[in-house]
Amino acid sequence: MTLLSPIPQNSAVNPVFSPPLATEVALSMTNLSFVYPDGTEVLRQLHLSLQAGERVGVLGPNGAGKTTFFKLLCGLLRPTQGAVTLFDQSVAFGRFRSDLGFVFQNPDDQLFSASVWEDIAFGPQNMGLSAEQVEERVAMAMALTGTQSLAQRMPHHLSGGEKRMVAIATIVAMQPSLIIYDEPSANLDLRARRRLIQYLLHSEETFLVASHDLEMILEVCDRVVLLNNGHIVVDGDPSEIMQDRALMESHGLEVPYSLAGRELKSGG
Amino acid sequence: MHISDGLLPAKVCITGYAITGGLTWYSLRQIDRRSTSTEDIPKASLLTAAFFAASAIRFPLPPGSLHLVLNGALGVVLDCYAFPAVLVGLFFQALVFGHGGLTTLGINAVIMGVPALLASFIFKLRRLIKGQSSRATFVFSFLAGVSGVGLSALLFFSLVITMVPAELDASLEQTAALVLLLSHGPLMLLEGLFTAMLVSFLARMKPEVIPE
Amino acid sequence: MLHEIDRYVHLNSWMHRWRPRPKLVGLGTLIFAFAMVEDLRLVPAMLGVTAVLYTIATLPLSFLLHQLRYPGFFILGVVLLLPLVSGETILWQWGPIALHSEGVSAMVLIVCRFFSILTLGLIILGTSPFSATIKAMRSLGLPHVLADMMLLSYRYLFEFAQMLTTMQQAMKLRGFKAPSRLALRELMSHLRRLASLMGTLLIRSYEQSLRSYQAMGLRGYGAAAPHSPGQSPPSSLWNGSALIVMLMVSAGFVLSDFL
Repeated sequence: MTLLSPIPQNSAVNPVFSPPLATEVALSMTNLSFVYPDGTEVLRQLHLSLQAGERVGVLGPNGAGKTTFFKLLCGLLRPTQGAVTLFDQSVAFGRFRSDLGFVFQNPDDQLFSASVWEDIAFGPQNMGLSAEQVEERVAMAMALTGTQSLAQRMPHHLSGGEKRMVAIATIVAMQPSLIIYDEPSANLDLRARRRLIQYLLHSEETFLVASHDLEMILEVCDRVVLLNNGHIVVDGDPSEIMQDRALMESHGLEVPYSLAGRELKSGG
Repeated sequence: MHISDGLLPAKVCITGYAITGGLTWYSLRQIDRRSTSTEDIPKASLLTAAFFAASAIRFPLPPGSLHLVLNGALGVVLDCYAFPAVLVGLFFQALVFGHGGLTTLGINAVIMGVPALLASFIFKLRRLIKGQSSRATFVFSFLAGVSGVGLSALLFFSLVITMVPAELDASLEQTAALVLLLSHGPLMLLEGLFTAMLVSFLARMKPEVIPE
Repeated sequence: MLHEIDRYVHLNSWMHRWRPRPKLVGLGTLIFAFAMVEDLRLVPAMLGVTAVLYTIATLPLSFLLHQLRYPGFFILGVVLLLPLVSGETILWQWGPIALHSEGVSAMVLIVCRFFSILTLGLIILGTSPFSATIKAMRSLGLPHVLADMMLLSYRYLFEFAQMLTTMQQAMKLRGFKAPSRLALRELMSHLRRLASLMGTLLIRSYEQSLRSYQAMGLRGYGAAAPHSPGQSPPSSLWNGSALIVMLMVSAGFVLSDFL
């Protein structure tokens, strides 16, 4: 049984079917490289630019450098070369930006307070908002993620799916313009995963999502980049890229089941 | 508050090891008396590792920051495993960070571990209060935290001042010890508050971590 | 980096081939012999023996320097004052500042003892895998509770340190930062957050320990069978004679210090 409330369906604006209207650049990077002090090269000269409103899936085998890539975007690591620009302002190493949210792979890394409410309030409080504003932000984040009923629960006692939605709420409460999701569907059961997908489909932020769950990427993203051996191999339309069996397999990935059928039909 | 290799005469190091040996034997005997000792060992070991990792947490005190000692909290949480935990933790500290030393492991374990045992004892006194409210938990863990770091500072400074420079005169030594100890007042308070907050958090979130 | 200590255990020197148990006894005795050195004239010999042993171990110098860095600063901070405050014989004076010869010799002695002991410790731990050293300690009488605790906590040390770093990063990304001024309310709320952070770390490690215990139990941990004594491989000439040499060197230091 799940305690999560249904995610509100916004019938007036359904971003799934709305074409990207905005042309503002949300995120851009040039020549982004990262080398560990011991000389291991993780990322090599990445060039990437995201329009506001885009939903981009990041594919790549384990060890391709996805997490390092995200940590560079958030300013948790200092690039060896190159720079990241987020909404016309460069991302400085170690500097907190409330317009950028990062949902960690393991929700346990993110939830540390004694109650769900306190945890969601943590970010807005750090932003220096007034008590009423914090209340509003928390209520809004809980409504969007369907976690209202969990407000007074202890984060440790939640199920995996509940923890995931609460972790997302802690980020949404800061109202970032760009959210990065690192493997959001890992360890979720079918229902929790479906819930997450529904949430992502109706979210209004620009986002980047790394996942091995290719079906989910196919469903929620309108653009895909494939990262391997530290550089972007290909960047483009999700179904086009993921249908390319030779490409996918040469980078340790598989064609998703739903596309494999289509590939057979179009081939034969 | 660790003493490095080479600083103390061998006699003191050996005495430190002897006291540590005695206290370890005492702790192990208590552990053996428990019916759950095989189950407790993984718990105590992983909590020891967590305490060790947590010793990297810094508390900001503008313009600087400081590390908390945490031996009072360790005494409260690890109970009769506290002394072995201190010993293991210090061994790793000497090994990984070169903080402390191998010859001074015994004496350092006394400096950190005896106060941890005291803290564990003080925290257990809360049983004397009927009902065991959350306020009692807060107060007794505060006292445990204060006395843990307080006794450690006392042991450390008296040892350093009496052992290291051979020819300082006695009154100067006493004044120095007093000044050092008083300067640790705020640290003791801070440590006490942190321990109280930590233990209250654990009591609320996961009461089984704290010994009954 | 936390992993440094067993970075060079794969090398193949005489020191690496020396079995952990005699190595522990031999070098351990020497460490205590060094700790007993009080006579300044023995210092060059002590440094010499240390240098020879480190050379035999073929560990790179950078490893030693790296491990010395932090404790080195610490000990220098403690002993640099000694020449100024300790002793009666004045070596050199400039206004109110005087260097005392007793203080200088105490400083030299402390620093050299520290350096030698630390280096020997590194040789013991840097030339055998950690678990082998603990097993050797166990065979020398280390109680099994301590041995188990050492092995288990060593196993999780790095994991928890990583866990803490990640949690701190997540907090930082949600705007958590140190208060910039000494305001009591801000400091207290910061302290409370740190207490929650550490409490969460303890709870996560506690939960991990329950899982580990179950997994260990499924593989027979805690069952009645006692730890098997472990067959010691036949001792080679090198293992035994190296131990005897170490014990003799140690005895030499202790005796010369008495004379």
